[in-house]
Amino acid sequence: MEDLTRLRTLTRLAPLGLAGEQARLLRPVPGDMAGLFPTGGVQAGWSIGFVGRGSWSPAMMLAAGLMEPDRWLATVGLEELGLVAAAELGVPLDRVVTVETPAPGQWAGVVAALIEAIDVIAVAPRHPVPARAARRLQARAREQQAVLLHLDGGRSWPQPMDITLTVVEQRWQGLGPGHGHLQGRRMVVEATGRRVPGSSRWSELAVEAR
Amino acid sequence: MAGTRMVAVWCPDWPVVAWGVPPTEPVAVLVANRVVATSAPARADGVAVGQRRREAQGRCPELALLDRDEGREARLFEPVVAALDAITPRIEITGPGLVGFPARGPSRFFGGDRPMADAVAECVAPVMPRIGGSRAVSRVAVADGVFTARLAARSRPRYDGGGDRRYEDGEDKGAGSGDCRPGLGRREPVIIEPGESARFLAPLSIANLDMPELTEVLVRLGIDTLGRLAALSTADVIGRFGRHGQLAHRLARGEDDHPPDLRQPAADLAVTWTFEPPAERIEQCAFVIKTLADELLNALGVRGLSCTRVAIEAETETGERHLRLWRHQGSLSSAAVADRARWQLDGWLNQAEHARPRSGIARLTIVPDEVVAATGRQLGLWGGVGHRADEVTRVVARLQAMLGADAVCVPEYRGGLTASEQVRPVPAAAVDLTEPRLAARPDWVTQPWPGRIPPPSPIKVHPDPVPVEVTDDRTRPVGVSGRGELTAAPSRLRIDSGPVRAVTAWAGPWPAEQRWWDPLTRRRRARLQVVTDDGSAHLLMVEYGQWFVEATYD
Repeated sequence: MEDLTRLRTLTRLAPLGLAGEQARLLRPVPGDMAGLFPTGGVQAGWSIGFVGRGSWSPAMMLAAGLMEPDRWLATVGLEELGLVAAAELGVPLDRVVTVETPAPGQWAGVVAALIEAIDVIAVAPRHPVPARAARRLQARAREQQAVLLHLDGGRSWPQPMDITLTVVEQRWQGLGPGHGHLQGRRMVVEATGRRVPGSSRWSELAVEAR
Repeated sequence: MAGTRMVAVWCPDWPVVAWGVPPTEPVAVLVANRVVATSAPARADGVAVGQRRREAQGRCPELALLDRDEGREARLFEPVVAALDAITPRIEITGPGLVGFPARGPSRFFGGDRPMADAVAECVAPVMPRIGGSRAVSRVAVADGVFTARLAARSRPRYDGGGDRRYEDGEDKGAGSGDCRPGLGRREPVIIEPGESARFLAPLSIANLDMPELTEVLVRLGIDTLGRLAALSTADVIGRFGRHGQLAHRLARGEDDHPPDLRQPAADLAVTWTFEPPAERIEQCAFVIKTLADELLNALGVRGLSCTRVAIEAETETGERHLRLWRHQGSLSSAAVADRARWQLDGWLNQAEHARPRSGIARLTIVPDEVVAATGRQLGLWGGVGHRADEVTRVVARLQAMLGADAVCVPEYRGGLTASEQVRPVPAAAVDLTEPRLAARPDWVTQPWPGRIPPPSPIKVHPDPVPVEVTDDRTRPVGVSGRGELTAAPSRLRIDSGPVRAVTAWAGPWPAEQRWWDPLTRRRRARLQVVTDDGSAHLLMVEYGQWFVEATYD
């Protein structure tokens, strides 16, 4: 019981401790998305999964936010990713590097190399990643303050995601029966995962091209 | 405002001297395969600090290589500091080989800067380590501010016509510069008169700032001397380079890097350890030192402070005390504090018989003597294209070696109709990532491309278009007429033989005729935006009566 009270005090005090070393490791996220992250931001070394139809757009919105002010984004094996759309969501393309799908044996090595200089890495491995490689990458990402975005929801990643963002529902605007064109959409996103204590968090996001 | 008048005492090539190498031998001291110190004959052959082991050996084949031993450097330096204690109690040690202290009190006592500097040199000379029959050199300088004094101690006087004395950068190249051959023992102290700091600093290299990230950028901008940096307006420098630029600018103008009022930090930040039983050897203290340093830095971190000077005091059972002030240009990390505490204790415990403590160390106290507000990481302060891009370039090169040159690309804008045409990957090897890249900016293509569908663009572009059946409400296939009109309103969608989905909204077709001028490659296509009942939106494309999913608005 006493331990529990102490633990509560500690958790309450935690944000104060963030003033020093921790705060630097924490990256703020774009305004709309802040509600999805219990700590208000993304912490170095995190793996964030994106699940559901329409989840690539919030992924790129988050990437754009994390790339401020002088950070780079790398994509590995994401030949499908429409970079025009990413740019419309705020990703500065002059700080993007794309790497073709590497051979399964090289995948971990490629991501490890990228972590050394690049802060936001978007991946969707097409084969299971060995547990040891994943652990090593995670440790390295924490040291180098990089963040991994799993655009496949972390399907091939052996560890649980720190946060999974699931698009539960999306409503399109601007398109009618036979007229108009797609303009924007509102989506309901649910955050779950080991960094989301208790029940999951929900947020409504407006996704619009800038 | 000029900085406090400071005295710097510098012992050149201390890492070499500490190894007791005769001054005629070419020697380089290495840390992690890089040269950190050299002897004069080695410099004469072109060996320089920062070179790799192999490069240094290439320049000077008979070069002797030694590993750095900071403990040894600190031990040998302790008598020098102890001797200076006789002149002033306020000695700040930057590291073994370099100390400073405020000049005001001692100058008043000795009757001026020059007599005082002479007295300092006099006092240090007999305790310098003896190498090969003569004593190692030390240099003394007095100037406004720690930074200027330090550079003055390192500079070489240059005499040109007219009796005007000037100074230039750099260390002695051995026999060439007659006035300071190691054998000569000492050299006249350098005094930079009050208010003359800026003039003295102006011709010196900007590399003296010891801020590689910043100076690399400045040199590229053509600002290679401290004088050129000082000539810029303060507002411009701060606007472009932030706080670090401001610091560099202040230093370059001969203004002190530390405010002269020595703020007394809160006493409760001090950390203390009582040894039980007292420690006789340095090995017994190592763990305590590390714990204390971590504790101190944590306490500072929580308050958002960082420390630029620590006072470390050791006390023995019998009440002997040993206090040293350690100064650092940036802020001290926990490892740096621990190093200094270790050097100090090691130095004290290993002195000659008469200076050694008579009993074990009973208490160790570390006080953050000067604190400033912590200002966070240096990363990303230099605006859009900075040293981050250099790091990215290196990683890209490594990946290209691993995967092939075309496997690593960067996007560039091209004119085009579809999402996959508007931005094309360009091999990263063909591009200089450290320069601003206009072709990667959205405003690169300014002309509206005819037939382009307004944003948002689809975020999932299928490399191979996926076949899809588009039917009307009576399951008849939908087509596009020769006049670019749909034959019926689309009502159902079946992607790649998957489940049938109802179309809830649609628009189009947008005709897209490409290369109509060339009968062989011309393509006549039309596009359709559709939203289905599961909430997904697709961009469909029809060609020769066959529909494909070209892209998805994921």
